[in-house]
Amino acid sequence: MKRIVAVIFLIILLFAALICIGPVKIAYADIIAVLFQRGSGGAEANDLARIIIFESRIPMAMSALLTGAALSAAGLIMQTAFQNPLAGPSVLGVSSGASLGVGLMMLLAGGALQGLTLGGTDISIFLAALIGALAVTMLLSIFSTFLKNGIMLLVVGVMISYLASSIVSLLNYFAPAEGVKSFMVWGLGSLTGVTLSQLPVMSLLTVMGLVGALLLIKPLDALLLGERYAASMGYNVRRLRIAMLGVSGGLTAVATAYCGPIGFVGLIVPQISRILLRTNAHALLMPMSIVLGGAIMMGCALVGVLPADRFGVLPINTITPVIGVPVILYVIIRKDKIFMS
Amino acid sequence: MKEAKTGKEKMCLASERNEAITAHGLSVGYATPILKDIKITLPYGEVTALVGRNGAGKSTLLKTLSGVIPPLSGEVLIEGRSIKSMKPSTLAHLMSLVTTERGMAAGLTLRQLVALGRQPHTGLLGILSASDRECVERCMKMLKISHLADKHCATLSDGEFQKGLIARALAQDTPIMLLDEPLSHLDVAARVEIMAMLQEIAASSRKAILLSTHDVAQALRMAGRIWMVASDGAFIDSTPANLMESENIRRLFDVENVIFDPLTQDFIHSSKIQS
Repeated sequence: MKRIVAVIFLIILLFAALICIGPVKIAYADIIAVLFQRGSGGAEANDLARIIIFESRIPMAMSALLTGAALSAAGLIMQTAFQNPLAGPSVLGVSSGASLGVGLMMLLAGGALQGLTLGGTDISIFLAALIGALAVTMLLSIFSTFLKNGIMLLVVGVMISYLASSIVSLLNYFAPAEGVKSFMVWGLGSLTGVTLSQLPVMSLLTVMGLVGALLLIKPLDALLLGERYAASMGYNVRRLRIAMLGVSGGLTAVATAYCGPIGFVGLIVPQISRILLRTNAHALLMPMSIVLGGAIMMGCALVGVLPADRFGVLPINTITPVIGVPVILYVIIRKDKIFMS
Repeated sequence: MKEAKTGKEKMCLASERNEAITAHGLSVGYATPILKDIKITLPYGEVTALVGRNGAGKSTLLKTLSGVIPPLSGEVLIEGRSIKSMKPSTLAHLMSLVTTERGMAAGLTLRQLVALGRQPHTGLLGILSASDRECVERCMKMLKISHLADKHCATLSDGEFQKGLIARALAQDTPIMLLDEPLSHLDVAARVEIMAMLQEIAASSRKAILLSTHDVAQALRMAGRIWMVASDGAFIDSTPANLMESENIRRLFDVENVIFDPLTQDFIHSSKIQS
């Protein structure tokens, strides 16, 4: 409990840092002026600072928090649901589904659909990613109704992932160069694409998903002993599997739709949470994964903007593996197997 | 005092119905029947041991009796009600399960593991009430594992973990307990100890306990009843004494030179028999 509160403090610190640091240098005095004297008008510099802070830095910090929380909660659900500590949103093909959706739109439609706007913002990428991710989630749900075994479902997810990736490669092969470039940039993942006007809907969808994840705490605990035990403790296992897929798939879909396919976070955050809390009980693990996921994503975002005055903001997917790979290796090789099997 | 009284009340309730699970003309299997047209009666207040060679259908029968797979024919009745029309949440109040799988429970403490048994009794968020906690402590005490309560399951021996799983099933507070090979991987001391504990539980709280086992000799010594799947596919429901007296026990295995020795009440190689 103390550790969860500590992570929440860390989130507040990171939020402050993300508002203060960026490609454009803004004096602290101006930041404070913008934040606490809204509407006071005044100097031109303040107007610029206001636009940067409200249109760029706050949306980025918020989308890092929401995306990290969503992917981590989804990862934890999948790891328990499939009895596999190395399962995660990007393993199950949900992220690939989103990529396929965006790939089809950007590369095949040749940009014909691009520029679909709502309230002044381009939502075409968002819609394509959401449709792709939800399509895979639905496909997995259909499979889950007649596959008895959760592990087989994991295999189906991996297969779908390969299939989607190969179609995306094929599209890339035939697409014009500029389409390939913009698709590749999306594929690197970005926390800077979310605008202030998109934030309320993104927050609402993510919070709905997170509430769903918190409601799954009790059945996830029952699943720790396997599906046969869960059934004996009163759960309709098939219905439960659909609920878990719906919540984890929905969370992944929202995060991927807004920020691109971000790897590793959903996989590593539940692992780090287990190491920190030394437990598999979801009553603590789920809240910890949610706040820690937000904090780690914000930390990655901060690393991404630190060299911004020289290189611009780094793509987020170039940073997450730097943190993710050592953690996965540690989990695999350490002797303390308490939280693995 | 109070505890003794509630125990007695429960006893009166259970003794009205003497059959926990019944079935007639039951055939079990996945596509083709492994066990055909059998009659089943699982009594309260006793440990019934299910024995049979590997692949004889012990596990399939247990899965059928717990509603995991449907019977190919016939109907399983739990306290007179068909299991088919029963919701999982209703069944969870009637029957609990013990296997040997550790799953991902390694990161739970023993107390958290046992507390999982309270799940059917708690609300949406699974928060334990004072009486739930009390029940968890009582069940650990019954299995003599209270001193291990705060240890992670990963650090427990197979025997200790198995007692934890039995305590979990006990905490679920069901009149029927099904145990799928709970004694495999255990040393003889742990087997004898757990078997004695199960007998004590069955007798004191009039539960119906059904366990499958490979340890025929121990089942013959310690179980109240034996369900035997013979090598020819016949299903024999008997007491250990009758099973040995009628020599039906010889039908358990159909392996040359492996015979039942009445003296040691165990299967031995024929070359070892002393005449």
